Amino acid sequence: MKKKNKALKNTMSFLVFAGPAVLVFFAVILVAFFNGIQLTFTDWNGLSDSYQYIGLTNYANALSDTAFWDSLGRTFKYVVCVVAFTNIIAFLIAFFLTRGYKGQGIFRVAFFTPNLIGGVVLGIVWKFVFSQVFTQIGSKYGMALFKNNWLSTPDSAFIALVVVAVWQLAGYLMLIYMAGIISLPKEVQEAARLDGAVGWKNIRHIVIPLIMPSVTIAVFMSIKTAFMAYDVNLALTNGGPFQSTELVAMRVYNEAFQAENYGVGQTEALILFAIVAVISIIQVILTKSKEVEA
Amino acid sequence: MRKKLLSVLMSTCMAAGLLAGSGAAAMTAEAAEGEKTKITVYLGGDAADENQKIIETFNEQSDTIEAEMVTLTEGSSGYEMLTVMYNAGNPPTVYFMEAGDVLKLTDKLTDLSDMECLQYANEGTTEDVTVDGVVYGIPANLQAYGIMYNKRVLESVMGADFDPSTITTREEFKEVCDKVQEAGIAPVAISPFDWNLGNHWFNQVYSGQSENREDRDAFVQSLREGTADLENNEIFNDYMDTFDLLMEYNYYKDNPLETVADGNEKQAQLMALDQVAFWFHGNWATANLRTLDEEGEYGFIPVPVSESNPNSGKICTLVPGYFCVEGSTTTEEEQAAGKEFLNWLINSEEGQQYVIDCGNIPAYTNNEATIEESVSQSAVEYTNSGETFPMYVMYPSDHATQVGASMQKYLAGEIDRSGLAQEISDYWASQE
Repeated sequence: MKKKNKALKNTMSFLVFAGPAVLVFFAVILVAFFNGIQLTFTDWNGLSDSYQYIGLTNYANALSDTAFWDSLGRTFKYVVCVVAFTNIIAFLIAFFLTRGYKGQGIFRVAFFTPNLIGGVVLGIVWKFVFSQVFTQIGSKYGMALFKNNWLSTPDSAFIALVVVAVWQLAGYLMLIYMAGIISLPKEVQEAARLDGAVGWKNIRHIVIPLIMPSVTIAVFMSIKTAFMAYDVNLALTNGGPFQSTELVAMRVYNEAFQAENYGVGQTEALILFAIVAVISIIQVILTKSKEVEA
Repeated sequence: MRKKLLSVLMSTCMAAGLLAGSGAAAMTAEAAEGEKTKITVYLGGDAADENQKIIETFNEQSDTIEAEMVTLTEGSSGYEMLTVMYNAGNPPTVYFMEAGDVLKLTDKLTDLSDMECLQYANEGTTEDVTVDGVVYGIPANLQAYGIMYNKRVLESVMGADFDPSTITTREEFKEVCDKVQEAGIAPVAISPFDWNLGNHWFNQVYSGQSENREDRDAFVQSLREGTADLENNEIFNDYMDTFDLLMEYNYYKDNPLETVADGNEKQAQLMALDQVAFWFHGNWATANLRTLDEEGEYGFIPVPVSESNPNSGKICTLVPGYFCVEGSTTTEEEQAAGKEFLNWLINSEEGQQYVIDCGNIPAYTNNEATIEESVSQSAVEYTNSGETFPMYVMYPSDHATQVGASMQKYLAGEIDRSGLAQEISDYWASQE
């Protein structure tokens, strides 16, 4: 009798505390997700009241859509660049801003601020920088690097995208790394110093192994953000010139809403989801295995 | 993607909430004033201030109808916004759409064939939205494009009055450009945007195939079927010869895609500050030009092509959009109110002035508002004398991005003319 009461009580408190969140998660994520999967088997155009089931046609079309696979390849390149640069830069900033230098608080705020600016605004600001400020500097001082607008050729526009993404994301990852570094046990650090582990040796053999949990989170965050990049892509280059910087999220959106192939677009979104999920899981398993106890 | 969908979903819910809120507020006001039919109106994404003003004027004058303005959601196209509003079950009563989108939605639209204002509509402006004799939209206004010229630059270079009718062939155009170049001014500005190159420049290849509508459709059909030989097509080569000429005299010849990520402010600036003499563009650029230069005189010359080209000596006109009346979720009373609003918009003095205020050209012969702006004046001269050809608009909705991308590659020298013909043929052949 008492046991039964306890079970009821548990259920009740679960409903009270987790119920609303579960309900919202169910309503806005799960329902939409499964509805989305269902739509990949239809020829819905996004607007009509009725649609027909057309089996796996959308999957066949998605697999043969070279523009999608091109943009996916480009996105892989983008993800590798962004993940590598943001994490290295974020770690270095975090490392130096936890040394206790004077004025480090100001620098922390300064590096974090870009993260507080929304992606579209950021894209517009940087577009101005690339097409007005840099070109002015280029023509005034005759610098070949800034002679042309970076957004006007495929390779430099891609670099521009990476630069903006790194600038935006590094500050956020810096926070995660800083939290990891600050919570490093003092005695381990001291013992390491006595044993002669200073400078690079200290970073390589003491700091990095001990902040592996932070690395797991930071790498995961950056992979996810880079794969899903859309807003900066839209505001900065809009996929141009000639669709050479169209990342996969934008490709999927354009396929669904611009070319009005809703089913194919939805199918490509699902393929993207599967790829990102697999990569993220592999990454988390790999980095988790490197985590050690102090 | 999921995130995007989610945000669309959430913003729809919020927008619906907002609408419901304001609807309730309007209802109480209505009760006080008596029985007014409430309609919602979306007049297009541009000129929000003018739209607001004309709707307010209508509400002041009308005793029976209360119109509420719907503004375009930031970052989406009109058609995307309508899609979302339809899915949320609250589309506007009257809305603005491009011809291709009208045809997709005919089963949701009211028959407008009996609209009084249609008898004044310019010739050829309703054909694109007529299906089996039923007219589904009325033209909102006209826009025109061709090669815009800067009179000030040309007159200072030539030392004489400039008469736009003296340039009709490539040779004549080249002569003038050479003179401009000798004076140390770059002759031409090209806006490297996909919509400009893909839709506005390249559609001339479709419309130039024949003066006859059926023949143009037949040509595009042969592109879809993959049987057309674009590379050896006379009109294609005619237009690309002219494009080569523009490229040669381009202000940004060294890096033609320099401004590809920007709007057309840069080209407008070159034009207004007398740094170029010609710019392939349309009358919608007037607003940009006038913020920089209120005094300057600009006008159109036709895109110079061979004399055998049916488009020779003409500028292109297009109906940027049509006003439609919703017919699937609205009551008959609301539909009648929507029609009344549109008739007022086209026929009333204020409505006629509104078209001009937005920088557009009237699409109706009964419009008596005076036009003082030199670009619009120039365009109206061509429409009055019939020296125009209609833009070919029956292309798929991703035509601008796909064909535009191919044109950008050509402009940047990434592909040659046969490569361009190949890419565009492939694009059409991939359409269902």
